[in-house]
Amino acid sequence: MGELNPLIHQPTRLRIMAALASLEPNEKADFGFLRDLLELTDGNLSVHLQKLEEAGYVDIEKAFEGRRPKTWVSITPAGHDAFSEHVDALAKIIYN
Amino acid sequence: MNRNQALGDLKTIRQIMKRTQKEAGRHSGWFILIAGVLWLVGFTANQFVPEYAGWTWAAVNLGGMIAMGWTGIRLTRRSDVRTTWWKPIFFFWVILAAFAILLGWLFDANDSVQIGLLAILAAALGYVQIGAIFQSLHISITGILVAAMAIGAFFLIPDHFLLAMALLGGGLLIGSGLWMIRSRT
Repeated sequence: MGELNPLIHQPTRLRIMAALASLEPNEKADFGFLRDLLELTDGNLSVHLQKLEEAGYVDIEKAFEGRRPKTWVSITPAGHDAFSEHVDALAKIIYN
Repeated sequence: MNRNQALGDLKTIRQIMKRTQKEAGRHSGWFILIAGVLWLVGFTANQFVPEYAGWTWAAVNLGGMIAMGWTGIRLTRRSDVRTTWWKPIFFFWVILAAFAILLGWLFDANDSVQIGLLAILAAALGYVQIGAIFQSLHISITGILVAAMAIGAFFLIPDHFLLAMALLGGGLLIGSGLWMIRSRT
């Protein structure tokens, strides 16, 4: 059973990780999709994604589709493990 | 962190995960909508112009494949969530269709009502399974309702089975597809 992860514990990052963890393996979410879903501003989402990327929990991929720039965000295996451990730790607090 | 805070965090996680899955799967409503239109046209032809039903279904199936392929390509380009699931889903339906054809041949289904019921039950099974795989209760319930409606119509109103499937079955799929496309979290 894991321990609470201080990086994921932050409320906004917890919601970002929950959203990304709910996607199927190999699925990527558009930056704008996450922003609208979580009701965040561009700047706020960028800052938190950068921290999660530095920790190796998310992958950020910038690409052009036609002439439109797109930013795709996905959770990494390490991010999945860290999130699962965090959820386990929350469950441990509740059931102990 | 105390127990109530942990409970609150888990509740937030559940809500976000559910909302994300719902938003990410919203576009699949287009495929259910297209399937509903195909049913409406095909089964109406079965009921009213049975002599042309074979040709109508051939045209409807070809048109459906083109419409679904085009929709899939457009949605992949526009979609907010990039998925690699299109190919497995396509092959799932091909295998299910082949299985239904094999069953029809083995059990010698030889009139349009029997063949229609078999095709509908196979499609309903497909919806239930796709709903289970993608944790979409709505798609699974659509499949169960379609199956229940088809079995009910087969036994209760066999003379109007094909029309019932056109209006009720097609209508249910169109309504279900529209609901999925339009529903917001």
